[in-house]
Amino acid sequence: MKTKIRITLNGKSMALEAPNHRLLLDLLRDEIGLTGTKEGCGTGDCGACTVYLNGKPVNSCLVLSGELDGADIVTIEGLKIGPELHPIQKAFIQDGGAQCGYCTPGMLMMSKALLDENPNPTEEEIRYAISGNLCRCTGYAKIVQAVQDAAAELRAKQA
Amino acid sequence: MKRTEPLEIYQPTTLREASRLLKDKGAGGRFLAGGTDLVIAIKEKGLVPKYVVDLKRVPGLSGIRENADGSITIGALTTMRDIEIDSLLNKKYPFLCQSAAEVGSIQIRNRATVGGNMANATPSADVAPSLIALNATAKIVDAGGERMVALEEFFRGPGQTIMSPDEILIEIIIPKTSPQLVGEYIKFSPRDMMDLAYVGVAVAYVIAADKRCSGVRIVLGAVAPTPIRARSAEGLLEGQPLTEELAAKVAAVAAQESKPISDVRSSAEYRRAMVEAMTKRALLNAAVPRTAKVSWCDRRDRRY
Amino acid sequence: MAELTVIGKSVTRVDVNEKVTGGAVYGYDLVLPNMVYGKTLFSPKAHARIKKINTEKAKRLPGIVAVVTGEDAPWTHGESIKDKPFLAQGKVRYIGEPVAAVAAEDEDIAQAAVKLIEVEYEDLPVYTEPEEACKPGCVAIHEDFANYRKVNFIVGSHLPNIAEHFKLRTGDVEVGFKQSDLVVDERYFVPIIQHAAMEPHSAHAQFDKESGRLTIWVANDAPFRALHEITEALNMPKEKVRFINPLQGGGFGSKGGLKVEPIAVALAFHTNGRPVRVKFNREETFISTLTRHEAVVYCKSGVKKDGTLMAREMTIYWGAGAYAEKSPTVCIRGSLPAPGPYRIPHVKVDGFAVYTNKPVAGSYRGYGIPQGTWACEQQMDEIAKRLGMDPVEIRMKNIFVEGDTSYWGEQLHAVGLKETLVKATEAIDWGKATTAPKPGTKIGKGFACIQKPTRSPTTSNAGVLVNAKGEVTVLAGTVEIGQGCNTILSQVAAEELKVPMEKVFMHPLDTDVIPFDASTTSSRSTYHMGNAVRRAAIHARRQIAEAAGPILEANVQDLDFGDGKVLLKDQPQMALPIGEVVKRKLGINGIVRGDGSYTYEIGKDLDLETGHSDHASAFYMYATQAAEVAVDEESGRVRLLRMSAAHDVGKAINPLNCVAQIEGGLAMGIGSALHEEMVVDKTGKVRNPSFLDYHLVTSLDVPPMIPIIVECPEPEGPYGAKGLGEPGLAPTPAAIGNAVADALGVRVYDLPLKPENVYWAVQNKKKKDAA
Repeated sequence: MKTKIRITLNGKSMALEAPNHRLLLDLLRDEIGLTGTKEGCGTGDCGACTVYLNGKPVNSCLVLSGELDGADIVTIEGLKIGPELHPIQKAFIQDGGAQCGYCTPGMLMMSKALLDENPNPTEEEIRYAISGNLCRCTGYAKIVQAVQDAAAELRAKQA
Repeated sequence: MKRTEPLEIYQPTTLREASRLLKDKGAGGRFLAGGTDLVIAIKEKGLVPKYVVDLKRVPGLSGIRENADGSITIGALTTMRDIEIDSLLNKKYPFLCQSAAEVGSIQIRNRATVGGNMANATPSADVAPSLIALNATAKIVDAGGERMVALEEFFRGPGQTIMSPDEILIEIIIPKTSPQLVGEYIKFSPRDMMDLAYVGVAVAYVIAADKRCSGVRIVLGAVAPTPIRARSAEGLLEGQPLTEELAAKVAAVAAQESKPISDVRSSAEYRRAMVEAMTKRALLNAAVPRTAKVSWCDRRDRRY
Repeated sequence: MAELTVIGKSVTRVDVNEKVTGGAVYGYDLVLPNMVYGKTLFSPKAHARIKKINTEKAKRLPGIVAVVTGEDAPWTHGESIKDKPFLAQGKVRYIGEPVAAVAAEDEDIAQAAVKLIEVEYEDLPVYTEPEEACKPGCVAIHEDFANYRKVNFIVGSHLPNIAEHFKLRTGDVEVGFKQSDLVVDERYFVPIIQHAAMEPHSAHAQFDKESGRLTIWVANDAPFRALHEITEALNMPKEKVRFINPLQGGGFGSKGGLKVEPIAVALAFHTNGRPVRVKFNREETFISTLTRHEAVVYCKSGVKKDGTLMAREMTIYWGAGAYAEKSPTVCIRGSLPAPGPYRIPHVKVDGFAVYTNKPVAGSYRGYGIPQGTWACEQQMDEIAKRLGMDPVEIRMKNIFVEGDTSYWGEQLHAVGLKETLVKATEAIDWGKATTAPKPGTKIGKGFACIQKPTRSPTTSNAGVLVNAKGEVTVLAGTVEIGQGCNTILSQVAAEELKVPMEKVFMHPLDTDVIPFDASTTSSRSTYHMGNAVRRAAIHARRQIAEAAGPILEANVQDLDFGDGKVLLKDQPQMALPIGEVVKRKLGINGIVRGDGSYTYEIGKDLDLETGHSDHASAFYMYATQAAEVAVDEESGRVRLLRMSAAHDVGKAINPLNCVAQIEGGLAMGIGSALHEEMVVDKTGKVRNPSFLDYHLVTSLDVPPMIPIIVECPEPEGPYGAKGLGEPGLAPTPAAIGNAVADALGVRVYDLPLKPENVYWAVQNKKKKDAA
């Protein structure tokens, strides 16, 4: 059963047809061709598939296409501000927040969501915010560092 | 998720329409709220719904408000995240917000709803014990009308509630409580986040200046087919001043009342031992007013 | 020699941009034109004969392109032992074994078709315990074991289901025990765990009938090994097979050899030239790819009352699972150093790799060291306790130092162990009570020491190309699995040619183009490929110098390299960009190519009777990790307060990268210490194949980590470097186990240190004390 849905994806309007049961994760990766959002577990336990749905970070592996008409979706491909990398992306590069990089898109999406809401998070608040994003490579230390550094840079830009 | 059978999704805009759909389309339909349970049931547990009725376009089903009579209504489609951060609930019943915070990750909580969570009736659910400790009621509607069911009576077994297929849970109501009501929820599990509860303990009681407790409710999760009240344990504390010694006795009785099973996560004996340990802690923690914000990492180990 | 310009600097990784923008393409992301989608049918039985497979219904489904079973793919593969069929042949040996596969126009159809395949099984006895499966009278899981192609260092056994029996014999342990004042004898257990790389497994394959060429796209950590294994299995010449590596989202040892590739290949022969993609979801990755060996470790030690070790006897049962995979070498490499990094005059080790009807175990970061360490390092603390000695003191008395001859007969050099022990324990204020326990908790401190070898001998080859623009391309078969090799190897090339990092490019990995490399495993790449790239760069530099000489009118020995240029030593302003030199000598499209090869000198192989060798490993990595814990006595819940990890890396080519490996390894070690275990029941079924019930550490579960780099230069290593990929997780469980024992006065012998296990250890001690 295919449904016509109209969505806004990374700021652009799109009309497409998708089977109702198609998960948003697969819609993005297989039908639309944006493979930046990753599948890590398919059951909402790892956060690698995190996207913003109507402004909130969610696991796209648990969202059915059939309910998406009118939705606003932002993926990792939409994180950049124009041609420039977002400070959180730059911080991940500088601080070594990415090793194999597979969890990185999800981590970045959660980190940015945190900083949008809380420009001056404590270390514990950062760890709490990303506790739904599993990383097997880094031990999280440099990810936390990167979020702290990005937060400082964003605060400096505001000042 | 792979399937060749088409999946119909309906997005009604009224409750009546939603309930009608289930009646008219017949068996095999499921309501969809946040999807975090339903999609997993389809992917992992072999559920093949013929059709799905998405409730999210029906207005008025989410939100938290205090009513004139002092009760609080939580719309069924209120997300766990909204409950977690709600300022009213954090002021009145911080332990309820804490139980919501225990559900999965922020990404899950942005979608998971309290109504969907109740309807899913997982024995290890975190929010149900706290709501039962607060004597909450569920408002259920169908095409014919509405009824109120005490949440304590709402669950029948794992995955089973007292609702018929075309009934919809639309609100949870917490009755007005005494200003001296205190409570605590402890989720016991190995990690600090992302686990299902091995044992869940919610307590609520009114504490007088002389430390006498009344209206004691002790609700255990993950140690029976549904959340259960440890009534004998409650009875021991009712009307008595709370002391460490009494808390220990009460906890021992609560452990006896639990009916844990052994599974891949834990043995029954260990769960029973943790019911005892955590009930004692929850009772004593509740009596200590929370001044500073409790560190997330300390909340499981926090000792009065 | 001039000062190092880029070696030793924490330069930013060269390949992270794509990773932070979502542009990086991993194996799991790869889409090929005209692709068909493969799905697999797995065995529901742990040990059974296949009586009948009916694929008719599946074949008839519209949109199905191919359906294959073991009959269509009558090949087996294997590295040490060639025992693993592409698809089950005649019988199945574990729940989760691939039995059949389909290729279809889309995944929905493929999944539906898999459900339509009917298989009839006849049950056979199921063996799930390594100690049980090798008892006399057990049915053979591999009846034809005697006829399998095996490498020449496999030692058999008359006992059933043994894939490898490793023997280490030094002195006479009975004499040693007689000379001891104290003998301690204990049993330890390490459960099966999962690599759980965040990227699940997948493979793409395409077979072109015209050319007879088979192309496989897969994120594999040893494409040349896979190439060898597949050509041996299919009896195809090497030139007919090509491996191309998309990016790998972690592996930790699970993505080597052949995992999903055989299924994709079996299908590719039947899809008329269309490429096939086979993806495993997380559950399938848990069960049907690879696991880490469970191990039962019996450890008996004899010591003098002053703490001098006299004898150590160990028997280790390694649960290989249903197929041999890397079990023989894990058994050998894990059993050999299991007695620990200590001088011990009398040593006896017997390691058995035992077939069981469980998921296949194989290479996992640490390669057997974590299991041996769990036993040996806790026993060291137990001995210290009984002798009334400080655990640090007893280590100091016995640990390897420079020049020692190990108990397998090798003289050791570059032994940084003592420094790691001192620094790791100092970092957590060893010997001082530094934390006031909260009510109901006890505080403890503990540490563990390790020594880790690398597989030897192995070979790495490299090429370094310099073009007329001065751009440097490195041809190296090391796979970027997240460890940062692209950056390290770029640093080596940049250092030798004295060019800026931005001018160095790592060529994508394609076995048609890249010269042979043994593997990206065993912490071997910085050392072996680092040496090979260095030699290749030096070779390229020499050719450029020889070309520059006439242009600058100087002898080669008067030339130097700096800042991307060739220059005169005594007149550095007389300089030419190296690209310019290439252009003048060879034209604007000319390329200078340097080649380098490095093979660790081939010493004596391990003696099959004694386990001895005077050159068992190219280098040894040493480390000590120390933990401070707070244990909730009532629940057994262990909270890590802090952990230090001191690692001897020889030379930190990129210190930030070293810290990254240490921290990441430590977190993985914490997972295996506190939470991780694959629960397999008596029928052979995995009960927790998901992240809900297989617990990885989250950001909230990791304590403050104190990574410490120790440099004890390895003379043969590039700039003195050794390796670091694996040791990060090896001492962790024992360090935490020792800390818990220190806190509670009770030792836990079975991993993980999950609350329930600690709880029962406390309860059992209470019962014993009361009795």
